[in-house]
Amino acid sequence: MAFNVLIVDDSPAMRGFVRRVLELSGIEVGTCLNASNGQEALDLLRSNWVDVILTDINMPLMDGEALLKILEADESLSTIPVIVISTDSTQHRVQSMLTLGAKGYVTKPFLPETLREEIEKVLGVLNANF
Amino acid sequence: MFFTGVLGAATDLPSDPITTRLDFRGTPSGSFGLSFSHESSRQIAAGFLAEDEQDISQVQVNEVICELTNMLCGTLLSRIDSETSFDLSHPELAPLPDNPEYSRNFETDIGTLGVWLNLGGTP
Repeated sequence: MAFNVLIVDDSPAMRGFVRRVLELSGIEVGTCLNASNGQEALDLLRSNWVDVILTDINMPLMDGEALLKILEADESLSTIPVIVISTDSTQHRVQSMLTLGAKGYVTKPFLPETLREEIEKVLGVLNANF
Repeated sequence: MFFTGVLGAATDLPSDPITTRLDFRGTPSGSFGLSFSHESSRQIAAGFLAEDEQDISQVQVNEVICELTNMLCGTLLSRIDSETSFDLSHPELAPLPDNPEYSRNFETDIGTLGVWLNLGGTP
């Protein structure tokens, strides 16, 4: 089964890196969508279904925290698991994002294996629900 | 991702380096930046993007170097204080400040890396 993924990061280099990790991970990826901020992500989610969202926090226009709040408040989007990928490893930020509804948190810089394990953990939960 | 060995301290930065800057707000507030030679920055970007050096554009190099600045600053601040959060501006290419409060140069596998830090901005 192929999973559709939405990568949200204002850095094109990081979006490309995450996409490459996905390609190399062995996880079967269907559609891989890209957004450079939370608002772009929401626009894409109006017309595309994804199985998992990988989002940065610090972005212009709409940051990852605001995106998470909107996703959690939207009945049709709140079931999509979100993994945060951020440079911020402070306990306050990690706890805050998990409390808002994130299912995983990966700190940059990270090894490809770390991201793969986090995605597999979330997708494993998805598989178990089918 | 970004992995290169630090061989030790270096004295001088290469002439005409690529330099970055990122401002952060919190406790403490300040600015942080990196300096690379053009050659080193291209090697780093090629490694990060998994592309041949000749196939990547200067725009891509700049994007990767800015992302590296973001990562290193975030890591540094998290180690200064892991309890509270910092707000980071978006990293950009900017001239090296005249007299940064803290400044160190490191010899790495791929050339000299300069790191500078100013503390004491408005939180």
